[in-house]
Amino acid sequence: MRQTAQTKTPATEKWLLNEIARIKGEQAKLDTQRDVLKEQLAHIEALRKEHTRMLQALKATLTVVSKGTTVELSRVVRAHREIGGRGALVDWLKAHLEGMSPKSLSAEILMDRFCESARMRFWTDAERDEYFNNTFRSQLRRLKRQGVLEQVEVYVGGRYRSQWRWRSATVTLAQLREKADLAAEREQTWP
Amino acid sequence: MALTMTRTRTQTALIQLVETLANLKGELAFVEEWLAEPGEHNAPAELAARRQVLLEQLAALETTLRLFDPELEVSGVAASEGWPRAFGRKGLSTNALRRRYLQKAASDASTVTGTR
Repeated sequence: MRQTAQTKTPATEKWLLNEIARIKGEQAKLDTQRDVLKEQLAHIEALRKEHTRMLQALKATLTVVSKGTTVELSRVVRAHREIGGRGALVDWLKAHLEGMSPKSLSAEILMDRFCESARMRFWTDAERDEYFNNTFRSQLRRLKRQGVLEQVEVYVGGRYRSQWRWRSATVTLAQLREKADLAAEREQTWP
Repeated sequence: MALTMTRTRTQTALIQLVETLANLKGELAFVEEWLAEPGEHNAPAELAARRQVLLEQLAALETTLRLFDPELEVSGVAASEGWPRAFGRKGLSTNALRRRYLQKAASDASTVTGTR
């Protein structure tokens, strides 16, 4: 293709313009991330302030109610999140997967749906990953061990992906034959 | 002490917290009544300090109870008359109770000063 001298951009300028555009794009991305982090920081600060207030109240209450009991105040417990009462996640998983049986869903999509229904919000990806690995997936595996759910490989988007579904009652071959015979009989007796 | 296990023992803890709140309210009412009496020599100086401590404890306990059960109506807890039990036998006269109360308030204040 023949190019005129007026339209041809010198290589150096072209590279510089490209770099400027790229850095601008990166900067815009960083600005967005900064805004998100600012929002997260404000939320964390507010939560921390509230927790400090509660901690002071609890310690003061402890001095009122304790009668000479020595309590180690430096201990830390990583308590479970309280979401809709005890067993809420298990109940939700059972109800949701039984309702959509025999269809299956990936653990990630299931977690998205659960978080939406329980109005859970994670402020960092690490926090979300921690909940997924330590609580959500563990609960799916526990239900699998109990024979409530099963894991299936489904071909989606050009590859096999692991999905979860409600484990229906197993039908034996003999039962299937029996059903087929009954259906055939009905067809024969039809006038 | 297994800290996590205590989180499930709700009823006993709730009763104790509410009883403590009711007692604190009763004690505060006693102190405020005493402070409000006319006459210069009736209300000793320790009482005002004690009132402040009681108010702080009351606020702390209310926060704790709200944390325990957000739906609990903390303001609905009435003042209890059971708090003077800590000062001796039942049916103590007002003057005797006030005397013992002041002694305790003074000893508490000196303990706090001594530990600092």
